[in-house]
Amino acid sequence: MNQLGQKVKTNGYAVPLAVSLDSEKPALAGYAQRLGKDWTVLCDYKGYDSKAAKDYAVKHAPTTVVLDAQGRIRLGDSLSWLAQDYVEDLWMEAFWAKRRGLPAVGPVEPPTTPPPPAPKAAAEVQWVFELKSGGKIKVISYEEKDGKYVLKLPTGSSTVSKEDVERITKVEPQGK
Amino acid sequence: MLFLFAQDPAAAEVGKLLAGVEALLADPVKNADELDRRFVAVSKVLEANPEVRSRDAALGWLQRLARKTGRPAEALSISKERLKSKTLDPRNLEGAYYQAVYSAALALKPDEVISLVRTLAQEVPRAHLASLREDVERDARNLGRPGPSVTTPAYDGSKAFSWGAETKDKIVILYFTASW
Repeated sequence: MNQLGQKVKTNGYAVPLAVSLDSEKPALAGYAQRLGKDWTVLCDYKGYDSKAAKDYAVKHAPTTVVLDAQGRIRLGDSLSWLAQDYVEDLWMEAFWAKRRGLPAVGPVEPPTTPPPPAPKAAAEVQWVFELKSGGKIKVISYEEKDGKYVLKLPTGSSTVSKEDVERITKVEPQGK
Repeated sequence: MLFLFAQDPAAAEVGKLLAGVEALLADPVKNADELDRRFVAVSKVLEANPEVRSRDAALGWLQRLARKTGRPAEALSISKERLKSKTLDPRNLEGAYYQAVYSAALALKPDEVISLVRTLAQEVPRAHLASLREDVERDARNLGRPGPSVTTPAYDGSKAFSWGAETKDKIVILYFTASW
């Protein structure tokens, strides 16, 4: 956890919060010091009766939950051993969503990220793919192949499974 | 890796494209364009050569590349393809399921998470993840739900904290812990 806290704090894309379930101040003091300066330590000394513990149905410690930048639960405790890679993948999800001109489905791009190259003229975009996950992809052209859509994007190319697509909308040229 | 891909031009091409990927993945932002280029290129080679040697190994790399290039749905699709692959070494089956469950969670597909972990429990009942099946299923049902805000005050000696002001547009790692 110390490593994870240090990594995300250094990169600035995540907030590491340790919610202590301690009920005595002396016990917490030493623990907070061991956890390190990268973690913000919260505690109301109510143990498992604290509101946060109840809200997240915490039954044991430690328990880890990861939320994305929209405040959605993205990882629960049973897979918390994946947290280090997972948090980075959530960050990359947001990074690429912004680059591809998609609505933010994950966290916003961190401040250390260099600005993305200017997109090609919007007029090239002919289609919008609305995904069942809630995202949208601006597409110049596409073809169907083996149950997938092969997409030509303003920033390159990609493929998406047909079953992940909710709707395909033709973009009307501006001024018409 | 190059040894695995020898004597098969398509496999050799895949090997060439995957060379150095591990180092590139160490900084997926700095190397974003190169990782994206390699994902697209490897995908094309695999698509054009379904019988390519060491396809399973290549798919393993491709699913990692998909996650790092903002393609969670494709990462899941690749993970599932890998599970169906006849060339998957049975010794790697448990790991392949782990990767698939990970991809399904990342793609916000709770039903897929539940389905995968149930199948894992049947096919590899001794897998650690199979022993966590009920917990994984419970957590999967919470995927995508709004996380309640945390109003617990900062511990004395720690800096002041305000939910919203400090968590806006950020990933939040909540670590419920205790000193005992």
